[in-house]
Amino acid sequence: MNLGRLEDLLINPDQLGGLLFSAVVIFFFIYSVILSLLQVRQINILQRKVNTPFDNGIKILTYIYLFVQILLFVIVLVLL
Amino acid sequence: MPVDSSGRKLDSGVDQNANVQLVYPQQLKTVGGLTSLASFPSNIGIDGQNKDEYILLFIREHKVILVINLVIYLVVFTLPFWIKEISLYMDNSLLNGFFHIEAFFNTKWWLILLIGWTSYILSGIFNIFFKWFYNINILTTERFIDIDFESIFSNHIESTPILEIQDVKDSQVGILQSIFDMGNLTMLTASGGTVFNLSNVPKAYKIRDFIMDVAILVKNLKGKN
Repeated sequence: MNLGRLEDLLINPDQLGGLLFSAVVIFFFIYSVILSLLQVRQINILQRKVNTPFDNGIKILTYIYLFVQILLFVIVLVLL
Repeated sequence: MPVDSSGRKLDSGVDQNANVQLVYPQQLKTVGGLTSLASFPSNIGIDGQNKDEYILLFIREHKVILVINLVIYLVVFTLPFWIKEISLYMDNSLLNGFFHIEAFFNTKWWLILLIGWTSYILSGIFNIFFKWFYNINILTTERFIDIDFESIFSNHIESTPILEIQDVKDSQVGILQSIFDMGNLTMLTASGGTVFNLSNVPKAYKIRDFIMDVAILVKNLKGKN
């Protein structure tokens, strides 16, 4: 693929190119949201093993993090 | 710092023949959530903590390590904006005729790329913070515990009885450690099987001293019983 073709795909994508890019983007964001869920799960497990003074703050932080990741995914879906 | 039966703080170099016992102080300290080093904390606990087991020392990497990593991530976050600015002002004759980068910046793909980048950086910052936050070492009246949060798929927890602690070494290497009074600790156990490595901990020399004092005290107490 030369740069001219890449430009066509990015700036004036045909139907197939647009679909291909959308699929890649959606895959990336689903992967990202799943990773975020796993991170939060891992932290929940660690919270059971050790109690730190900031436990409630950590819980709120993980929920905010998940919310932002899902929000970014929704914004991208709307843009697509 | 360990105390004797009258509540007097014991300095380094505990007399092994002294009639001392490990007494937990009445006034415990409430430590902050992001503390790197705390002795006798009241609001820290571990899973499987015995009724008569008390936490003597709580150790984490120095806060400056977290700050440096966060700053690196924030600088990396601005990378696409710098690329955009530079590419708009530089002589991009190499790309001219093949790829009009200015046009790309006006498409929705550029916006999607930025959102994806934000998601990636956010995930990285989250990971960096929790790697620091849950990389904990705890000394109790019975054991030494090392908790490592390595990645989202792995965490390691190791513990050894205080009686097993054989040797503790501290070292201060590099400019950063000298400026911020940090150091590395290496703890060897009697069995030789487990070695604990603590990096960039604040006041490493004091921690080494404290751990050795407690180890000697506990060995004395066990010897007397």
